[in-house]
Amino acid sequence: MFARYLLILVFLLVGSSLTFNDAEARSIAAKRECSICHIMWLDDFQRPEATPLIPYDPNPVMNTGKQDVVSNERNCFSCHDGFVLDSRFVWQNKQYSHPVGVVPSDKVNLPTANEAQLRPDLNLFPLNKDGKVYCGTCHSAHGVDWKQEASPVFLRAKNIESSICLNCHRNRSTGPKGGNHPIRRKLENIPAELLDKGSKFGKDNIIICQSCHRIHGGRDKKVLVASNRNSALCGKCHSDRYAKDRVESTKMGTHPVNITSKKVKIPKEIIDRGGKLGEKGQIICQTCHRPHLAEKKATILVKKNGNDSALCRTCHLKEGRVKNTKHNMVLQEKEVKNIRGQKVSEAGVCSACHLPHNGNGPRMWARKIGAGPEKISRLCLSCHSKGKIAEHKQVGSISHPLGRNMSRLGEAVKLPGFTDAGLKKIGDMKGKVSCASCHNPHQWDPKNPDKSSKPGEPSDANNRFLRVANKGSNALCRTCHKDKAGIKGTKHDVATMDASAKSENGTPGLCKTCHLVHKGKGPRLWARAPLKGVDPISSICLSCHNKKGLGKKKTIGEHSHPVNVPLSNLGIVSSNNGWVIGTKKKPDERYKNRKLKVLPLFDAKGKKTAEDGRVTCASCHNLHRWSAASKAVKGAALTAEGDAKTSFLRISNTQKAELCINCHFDKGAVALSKHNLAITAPEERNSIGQKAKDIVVCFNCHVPHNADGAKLWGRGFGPGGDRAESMCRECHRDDGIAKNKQTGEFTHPLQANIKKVGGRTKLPLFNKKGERSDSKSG
Amino acid sequence: MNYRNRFLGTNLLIVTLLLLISSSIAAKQTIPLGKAEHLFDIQSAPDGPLSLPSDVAIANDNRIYIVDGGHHRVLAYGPDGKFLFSFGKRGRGKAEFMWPLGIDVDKAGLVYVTDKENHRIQVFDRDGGHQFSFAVNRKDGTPGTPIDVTVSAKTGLIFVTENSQHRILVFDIDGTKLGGWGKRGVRQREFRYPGSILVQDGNVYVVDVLNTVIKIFDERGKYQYKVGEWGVLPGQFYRPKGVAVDSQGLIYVTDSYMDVVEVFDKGYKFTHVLASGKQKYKFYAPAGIAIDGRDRLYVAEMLGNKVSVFKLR
Repeated sequence: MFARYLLILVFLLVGSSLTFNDAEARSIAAKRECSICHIMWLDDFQRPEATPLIPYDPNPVMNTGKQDVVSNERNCFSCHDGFVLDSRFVWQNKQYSHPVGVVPSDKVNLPTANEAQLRPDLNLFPLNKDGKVYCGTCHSAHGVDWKQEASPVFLRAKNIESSICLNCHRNRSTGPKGGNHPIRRKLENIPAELLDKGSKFGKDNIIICQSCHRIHGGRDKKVLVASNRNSALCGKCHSDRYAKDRVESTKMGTHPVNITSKKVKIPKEIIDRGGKLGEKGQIICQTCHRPHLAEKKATILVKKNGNDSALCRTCHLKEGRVKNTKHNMVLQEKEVKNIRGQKVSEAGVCSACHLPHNGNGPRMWARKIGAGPEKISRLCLSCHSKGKIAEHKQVGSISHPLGRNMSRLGEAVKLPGFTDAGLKKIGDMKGKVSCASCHNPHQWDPKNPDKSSKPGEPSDANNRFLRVANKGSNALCRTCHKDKAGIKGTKHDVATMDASAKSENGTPGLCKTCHLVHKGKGPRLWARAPLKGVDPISSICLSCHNKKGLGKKKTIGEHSHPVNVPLSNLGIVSSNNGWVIGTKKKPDERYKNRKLKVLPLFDAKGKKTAEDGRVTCASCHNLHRWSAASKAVKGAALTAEGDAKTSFLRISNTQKAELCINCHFDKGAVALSKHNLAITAPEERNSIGQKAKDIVVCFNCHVPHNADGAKLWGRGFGPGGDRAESMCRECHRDDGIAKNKQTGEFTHPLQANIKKVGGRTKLPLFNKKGERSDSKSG
Repeated sequence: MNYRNRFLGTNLLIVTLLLLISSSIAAKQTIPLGKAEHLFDIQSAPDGPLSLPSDVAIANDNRIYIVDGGHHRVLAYGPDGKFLFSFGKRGRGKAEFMWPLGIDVDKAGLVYVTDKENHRIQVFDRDGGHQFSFAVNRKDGTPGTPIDVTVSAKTGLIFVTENSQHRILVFDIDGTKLGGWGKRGVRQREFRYPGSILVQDGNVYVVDVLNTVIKIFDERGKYQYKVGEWGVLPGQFYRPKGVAVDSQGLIYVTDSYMDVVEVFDKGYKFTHVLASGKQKYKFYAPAGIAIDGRDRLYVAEMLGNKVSVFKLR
């Protein structure tokens, strides 16, 4: 019996030992693979004598709620920390991962059991015990067949081209018509930077949710794959629309982003509708665009723009007034199309001229603009040209100059100039003149900005989309041309001379009686038909100063100061660096200390030019200022008879003849000689009756206008065989004022041809008329 | 007699059964603890906190090198934990990293880094100057997945764990591949995701992560022994990640799920869990570890975003 007992005992001991060890081992082996994740299934947690290194807690309470341990991030991380698989990026930017521990919002549509049953594309996604999203909502090791290669195996459902996202976020897949960014549309050029950051695209480069969103390891809010600070992510794909500043936006023809505007304040309505501003209040893509859940049919804009450009006008309040003006193309021509082929009646009032993106030129022009440097005006001319919509409102071949630097004005003005890039510049003299310097195409009447205008309605200088009302005293013109303001009240203020005077096309006004901003009739925007003169400038002067003209009392006569002649005739080189006595090759050392005042010279078309310019009336006369000496000549003095100090001269011509000798620099010495009649014969009068003591020294013998023949002769003629001798002997004769200085009976022969004696000379020779001649005829 | 014997036998049987039952409801085991003195933590560089530090290596001069994986760089600190410099940034060029993971320093002071997503080992001098790189490839020549690297002080051979094919690769001192061993499996020379690797005193210690053991080989790849086993009890592993050996031959193993460092003796028997006072020291996802010549233990805590430094004795 004892032996039997021992047998049973041995059997029990061995048996129990075998049962414990092998069964345990088999049990562990069987469960081991499951326990890789399901740690709490390990039997050791249930053994009363065992003390595991971690507590048994199959349903831990975590910050994401109460849930199973297998779906907590520690369990995932224990393999995905790089040592087995590498998903460290998930933990790197956890704050930008898909939210967990939250109850799904009403914007999220978790498929219901019924939906999942009816629609094969939908799956069930469980929440944790607290009804919150947790890792296990999307992830399960048992959801996707491990042989599936096109989709990650640890997801609860297949994720082919973001299909799993759309189970819950169905309302974000509706495309632009449904208020969402397009998906499943091919992107031609995928930015490498996006791919590097983990962006994914579908077959044939189609856009999927994961193109922009990275569920784990994102770099910005909304689980975005890259930082979207100031809409930078948008700009990765839409680089043609993402300008870094205003300059770039003008080059790209796109609405500026990354800028703050003093002029445009983003209204609360935009923000309320989901529009966003940059971190410093900048305008960004998302100010206008809402990539998801935007208003339906609003093409992912925060507000439908519609056929009245409602979104544009929400911010651009002032520009929005264009809707009620002649520049609303709906009123002009409904069928007109922009470069995108959009009808203005459908795409909105702004669309006729502007496109928010991919425009043609600096202001996002929606029209084809011609070539040329001044980009702003070219849009205007795209309508205001022959054969175009506004051909009845053309500017003509002679029009206010465009593209001139505002700096030429010498001081800042309140009207805008525009840079070559198309940026508006006010008050810094940096821009150039364009149509938009004087015109605000969005506002008909500057004094009444809300005033409407309809096609065919009359206009005047107080509206016409001008920035400043210009009727009467031409305040707009004078904003820039301040140096011309001195004309008011002078004899050149036509209203002073003749209140009924108008330009030939009937325009009254201080400036406009002589100048037309558009459709000018001659140089300097001349408003009158110029008489044919020797140069364009004298032509416009002569249009008044002729026998029948407004200036008929001040004609210049047959013999007048020469015009259309270069200064080089006098031995002066004119250039942008000033006037220099001598030749282009070599200055005249004798006059190296002589400073000549630069007077305006003009080219053959009447345009001011320094290089090789020619003398015109306007070289000596400033037609807009009565007296060079004082800016404040007022009252009756303005209409008094002019003299050498007034008469619109640019330099006061005292007895020293400052104006004359500025050009005739080698004649100034006469003032110190006996030929200065103010000294030798002060009571002597010239041909127009002026006493020597009262006039410019030159005028004793010469007068600039209404002279008597060659040399602008301003005296009578004495005896002599030719004009030159007669001029001298007017004084040097028996009863002349220089009777003591006569040549006598036997003197050097005159009118002799020096060739006959075989001579050559550099001395001046003259013909019988007293005109300078050469050695052949002199 | 028969009755007496039968009675005696029955009673003995009952007593034996009671003994067996009582043995199964024996008193609850306690976890043996071994104290280590916490010295300091390294938590930040001048430009901010560490991000997912995965491994740490100590040079002969006790300079500390840390893989700051989330920032794709290596940080260098003095023995006192004072920041010295960093090297590397995210990228695919020379001296740039894509998710570096493991690190080691050889006796000459060269720093070896597993540049995981660039599929290579990059080697730097002690001041972070790039020296050379070499690719870690699979058998077919396609890019492999290097996890950790270690350099033999004895032979100069470089050992790399490559876990796409579950192998140990051996390279010459200049990065020339010499061979390797292992494949996916549970046998002695097989692995399931070999992780950290350490060569010390002729032994190659490989953390076989999903087989949950530390396998010990000689430098020629001959299997020697294993440390630990699957489980959650003391002496067992759930997610072993790092291994280090101190001056007395004790083996330290991190478990990144159970957040402990377990210690085994020279005979590969479990001795204790690293503790602070009467509580086991709770790390936060500990991974790579290292022990310097002064028997200081450095533990990279990936989710703790720090390296904890302890004095072992």
